[in-house]
Amino acid sequence: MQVSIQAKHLCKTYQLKDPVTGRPYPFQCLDDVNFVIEKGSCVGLKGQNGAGKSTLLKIISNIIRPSSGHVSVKGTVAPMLDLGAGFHDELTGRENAFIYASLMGIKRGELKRQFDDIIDFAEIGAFVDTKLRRYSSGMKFRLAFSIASTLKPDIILADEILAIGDEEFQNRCLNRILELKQSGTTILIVQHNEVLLKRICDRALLLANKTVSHCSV
Amino acid sequence: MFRIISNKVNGLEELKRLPAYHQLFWALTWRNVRLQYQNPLMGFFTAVIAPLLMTTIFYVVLGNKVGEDFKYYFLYIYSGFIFWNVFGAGLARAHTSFLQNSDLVKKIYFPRFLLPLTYLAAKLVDFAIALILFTLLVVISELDLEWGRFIYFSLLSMVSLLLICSGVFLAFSAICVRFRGFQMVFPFVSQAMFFSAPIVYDTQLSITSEMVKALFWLNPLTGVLSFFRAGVFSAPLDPWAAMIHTLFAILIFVAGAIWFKIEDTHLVDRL
Repeated sequence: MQVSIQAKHLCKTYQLKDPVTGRPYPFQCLDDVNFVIEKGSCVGLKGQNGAGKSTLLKIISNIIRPSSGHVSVKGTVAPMLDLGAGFHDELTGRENAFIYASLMGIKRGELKRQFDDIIDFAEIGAFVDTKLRRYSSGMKFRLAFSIASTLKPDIILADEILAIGDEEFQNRCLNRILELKQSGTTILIVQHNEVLLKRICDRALLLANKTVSHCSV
Repeated sequence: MFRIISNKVNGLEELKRLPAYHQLFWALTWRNVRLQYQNPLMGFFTAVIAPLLMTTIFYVVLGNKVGEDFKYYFLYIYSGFIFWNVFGAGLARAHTSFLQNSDLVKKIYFPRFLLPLTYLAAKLVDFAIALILFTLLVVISELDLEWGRFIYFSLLSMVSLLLICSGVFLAFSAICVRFRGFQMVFPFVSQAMFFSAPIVYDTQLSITSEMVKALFWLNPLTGVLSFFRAGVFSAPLDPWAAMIHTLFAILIFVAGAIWFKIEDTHLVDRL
């Protein structure tokens, strides 16, 4: 078994400011989190709002640093924490695609080669050279997902991305995710929709009381 | 690719990964340039017409009094504005770079020091256009230009401009994340830097007190402009002063980089 993501004694404390006195006080978000995720598996991450799911994903994608403990990550990571982060309304779809791909670590040649597929999957068609502010929110999302998932990354970190868009596109997203999983991509996904989770996940982790425990999907 | 994420930063590891992000750096730089030149006419205006207009205003107002000391006063002011346009106008965009792009920085990882520097790289496009125009003006104005000296000192001034801008952009962008109120003070800081720099007049010329002179000398643009003008007007440049200017530029770069490095660990937590 190859290990894809491994967390050991992971803790994260935020420094918050007391609104009255202005004094900083520590707010512990994660406390001694341990887990192992095998390569090629799809794991759901469950927990209530504010349980620390996004914090955990951010730590794994190296956006914020843990206060103590460590995570080891093997392979390229496609962070789908917020699809379309970095999109600019005043640029066209094509220009945004180029920038977004660079942010995701996709090589320019790779993007060019796959560009038609990306546009086909996103169903943007004639709007490629239209400014993004003319796009509907669904179109932006489709474009972003299409770029991010064409990369064939080793690891996907997804935060509430499957319940957006119409049902038809949701299904295609789901199929794309399952395809990637088949080809050996490790997926860690936050999704509140239990039905969706059951369809794609092998197992689930539950974040509660600042720590992680295993649970059924 | 294997990566261990902990609260300790492994500088060497990060340095090794840096080349992988060159495409990202150019993509973000290109975005800044693209946004400015979205309307080519307006882009051309900010790069070429605006500095020329400002130069004309100062030339008309100060030409008779201050201009007496300079043979080519118009070129003197314009050379100042070319550099101010990179430093001042670049900093005006770069100091809020993390606040403006917080949605991006909070969701996707990349070496964060690249972000303020993309604004510097984008401003260099304007700089190149303005420099070409400047050279044309010099040729027209019958100024006896020593080309070898001009190119040598231009390169020297550009290197020190890059050092100073990198250091200051990094420091200011980090300060803005930590102290949000700094944004309010920034216009004043920017103006103070403009008027204390030898852009439209030589700050070192009329001041008699040595201490005040030294104080104005601390403006980072002083050295950059003295290099550039030494090349253009064939003015003598004290080698010791040149050395100190260069060391000062390096010091600003190192200080800015270190300050940013310290802030970097908690940058996103504070955003």
